[in-house]
Amino acid sequence: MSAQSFEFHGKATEFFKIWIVNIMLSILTLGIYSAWAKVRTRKYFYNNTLLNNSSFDYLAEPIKILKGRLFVLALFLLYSFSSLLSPYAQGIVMIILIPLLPWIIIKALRFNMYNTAYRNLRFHFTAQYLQAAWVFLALPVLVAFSLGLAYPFFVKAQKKFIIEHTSYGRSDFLMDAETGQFYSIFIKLVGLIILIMVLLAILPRLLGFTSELDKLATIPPQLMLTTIPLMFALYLFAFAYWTTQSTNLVLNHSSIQGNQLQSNLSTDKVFWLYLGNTAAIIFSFGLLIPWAMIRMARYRVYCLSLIVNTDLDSFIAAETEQAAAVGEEMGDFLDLDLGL
Amino acid sequence: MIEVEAYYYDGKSSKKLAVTVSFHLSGQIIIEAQSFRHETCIDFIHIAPRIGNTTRSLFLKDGKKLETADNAAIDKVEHYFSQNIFHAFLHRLERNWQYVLLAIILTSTFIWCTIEFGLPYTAKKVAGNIPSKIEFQLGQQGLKTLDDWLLSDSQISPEQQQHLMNRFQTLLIEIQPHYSYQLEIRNSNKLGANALALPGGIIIVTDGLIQLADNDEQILAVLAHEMGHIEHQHGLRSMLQNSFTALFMATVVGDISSISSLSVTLPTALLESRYSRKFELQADQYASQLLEKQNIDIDQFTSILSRLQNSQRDTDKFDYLSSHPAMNKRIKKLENTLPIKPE
Repeated sequence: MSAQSFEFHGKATEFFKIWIVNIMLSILTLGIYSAWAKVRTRKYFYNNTLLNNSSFDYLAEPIKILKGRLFVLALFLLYSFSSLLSPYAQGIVMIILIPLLPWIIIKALRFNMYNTAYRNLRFHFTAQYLQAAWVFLALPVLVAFSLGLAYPFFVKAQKKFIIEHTSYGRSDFLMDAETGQFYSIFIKLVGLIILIMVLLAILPRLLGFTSELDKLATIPPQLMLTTIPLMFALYLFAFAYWTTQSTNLVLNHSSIQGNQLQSNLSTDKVFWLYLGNTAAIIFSFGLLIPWAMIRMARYRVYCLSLIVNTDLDSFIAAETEQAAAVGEEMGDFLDLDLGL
Repeated sequence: MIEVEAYYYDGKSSKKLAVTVSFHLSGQIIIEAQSFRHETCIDFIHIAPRIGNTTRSLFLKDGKKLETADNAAIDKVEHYFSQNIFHAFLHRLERNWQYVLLAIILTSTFIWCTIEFGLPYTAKKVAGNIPSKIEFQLGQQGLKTLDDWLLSDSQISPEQQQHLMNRFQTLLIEIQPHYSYQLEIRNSNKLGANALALPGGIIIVTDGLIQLADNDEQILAVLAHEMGHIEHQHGLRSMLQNSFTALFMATVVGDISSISSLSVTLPTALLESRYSRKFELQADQYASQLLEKQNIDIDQFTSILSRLQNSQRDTDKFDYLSSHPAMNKRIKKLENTLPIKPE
């Protein structure tokens, strides 16, 4: 057994140049180039991520991405303009779109996995419509009816659905995190948010604005200037806590063929990264977006490693790959970033 | 001949083999390791385009793959066999600071022009082409929603309501309005003293505003302002403009992960309030012209505006990202439109 850490070699200045040229060409071609831009961006990040000296690869064809974007744009326009026809039309469009959602999610995951490769073997995603419908349509309804109490259960089901339907070559991923572990993070998050709310409520008193505040018609500007950034930072911290802890939990319980993933993101570091990135982006009018993207990716990859059980040479290509017979199929162009 | 150190993957398993690849001028390619030899030629190989200084892939037609860090050597091969001409051009753009600087200038100019002129112009054109029947329906729908959520029946006596309706009709006499106007008087605790314009000619006035006004002229001034919103289709235009802005922002900075989404929503929100301030000034201008025709003193308008400002101060605690321009700025602008009085 040996722990192999992932490496990231991306550089902010190099990526900045790629990024700004991507935007310029997307503008000059009225958005058509954006599909090529996306592939170049993805490739930059994937090719710069290495495990055991081999890099990951992104293989999507820009033309397919362009088709996918046109499809999504058409859905968006259909939805927005249906309200102009009659109030009922929008409802009808919604009723048609909702059952399409699990299908769209499966297709998008399939597209992204299929176009990710490592050592010349692709990743795959295979799931049935009903499984996706359970996770993405039925469970959210349950969450709503339980007043949010079922949310950790939903998150677990969602992560499990994605990971356990993913395979690398012929080998399936497994995830064995327990529902209780998600609840334990969630309860701490709720406690953190309550603490933040209490702190914000008593803040005016702490700063010396005593009870006369209720009588004042407007909030004094100096109080607003301290409260609003503080509120943003505190909630950002809660957000950082939830994302890092749930990511760690999921990855630390995911394995493939006895090889265990390991992620040790720290909430504090992620919080400072978020805060620094947000400030940098705002004060640079967006010009530091590529810098922020690289910094974030570098830290995430830096925290990730794989405990290799035997060796990385023994994975075998899926049969479809060997036969090179993956047909073109309706929906094989959906490259949506679902943020899952 | 060009020689490159690379890794070789056969595509059947994840096995990695360190190899030496030699490209011959004839197009012949030999992949060699200690106990391995594979021959192919340039026509059976696809070289992945160069992106920065990332690991370069070479795909063989039969599913095999080579990976190398030696970008300079592969660039030479690409150049010699004239492959990937378009992508080599892209890489030249992405490498030179002159082109990058040009890209920064072009991009920021374009974004500024789109926000300042492009999006408002498109929204105006689209709004102008929407059939008036649909505009009318949108307004009716809006009124119904407001009635359900925010508005209740007016407490003003029917006589006074009728009186206001009649005064409002006199406003319409001298102009040719594009819409059939419909004045609705409602009570609302949440809105306080306020007036709203909905697409298609609906104007809502709250009891609070009627009570706040000293005289009919002040109410008429506010109604004239709302007519300005309707005649210029501000409701529809801001609806369209805001969705265009969000779409545009997402396309420009697109492909951003969760946290940076603030960098999309924040500028969008700031722009929306900027557009909205412009609409307010345009409606003010419309109102001042209409009031002049009716021989109503513009002072009536400015005084109701400052009264409204005072009343809003009590209810509006977060006047932070205000959708209305600063009141004193508006009043000053209106005073400047006053005709110069003869001595």
